[in-house]
Amino acid sequence: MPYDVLLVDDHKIMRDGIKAILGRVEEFRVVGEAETGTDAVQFVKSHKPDMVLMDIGLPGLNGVETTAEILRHHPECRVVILSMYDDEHSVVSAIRSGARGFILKRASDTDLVDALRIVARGGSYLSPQVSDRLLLRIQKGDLESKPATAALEILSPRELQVLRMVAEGKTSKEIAVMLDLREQTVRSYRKTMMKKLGVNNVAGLTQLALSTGLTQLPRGQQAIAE
Amino acid sequence: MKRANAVELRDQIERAGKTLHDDVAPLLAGAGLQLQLLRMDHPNAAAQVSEILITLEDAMDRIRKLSQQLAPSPFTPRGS
Repeated sequence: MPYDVLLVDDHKIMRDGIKAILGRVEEFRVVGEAETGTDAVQFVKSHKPDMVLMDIGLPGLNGVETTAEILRHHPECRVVILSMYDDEHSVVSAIRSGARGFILKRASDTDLVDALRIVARGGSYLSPQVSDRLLLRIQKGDLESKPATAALEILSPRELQVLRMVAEGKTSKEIAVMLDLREQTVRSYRKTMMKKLGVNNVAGLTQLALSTGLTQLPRGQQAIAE
Repeated sequence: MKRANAVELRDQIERAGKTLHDDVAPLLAGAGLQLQLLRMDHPNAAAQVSEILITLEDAMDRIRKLSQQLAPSPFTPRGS
């Protein structure tokens, strides 16, 4: 029985290429494609694929957030992140979201299939370029041992997700659509976070999200805020 | 006025970095996948295709470095 795979990438040329490569491997069957995180979450809910190959840089709900969202409902699903980025922050964010693999988009076809094969069988995979760099950082002792969001550790992963979106200026309605929640539920998350963090309004939440590095202002707004 | 220009320039630089990363690099990566398929289908041309792939990887590597200088990954904490 082949493993059912969902491909998530906003670039059709990437999906087509990966689909063609996996089409030549009996172990995998591409059962769906999604261009956005929201579509991917819906697809996993309805079709329950064994694996998801997820672009990290999706517009809107990004690949890391989409992975966390998928695994919240379907922890048995195995997610491999596909990334142009190879910096440690991207890798660490991906692993923290629950992804079992991290592979660079410039990987060879054999590396891509190897990554999926290893993760499908219950293992974990990091692209060699990424794992070499991480090892070096760990050996030098300068890899961050705690998340930059230490002050926000009292929040649940879901609350962190909502907080980031609030800080980015999204309305409760927009957040509800992106996370497939009721608007009232999002408002309730906001209230709970304010209570936990001891702030009284959205401005306070935004300031905390920025000061902990959970989110960033667009460059233009940074200059105005400085 | 000077401040507004500086802000606009910074925005343009960041947009250029994001375009390189989000639009140009994935196209090259997609082309790389197509070349890998071509190499599988035409073993006789494998050597030439491999050379093209090396050049393409070099181009992607340069674009990746430049785009990360212009617009860091969205997962990079502020100030790092």
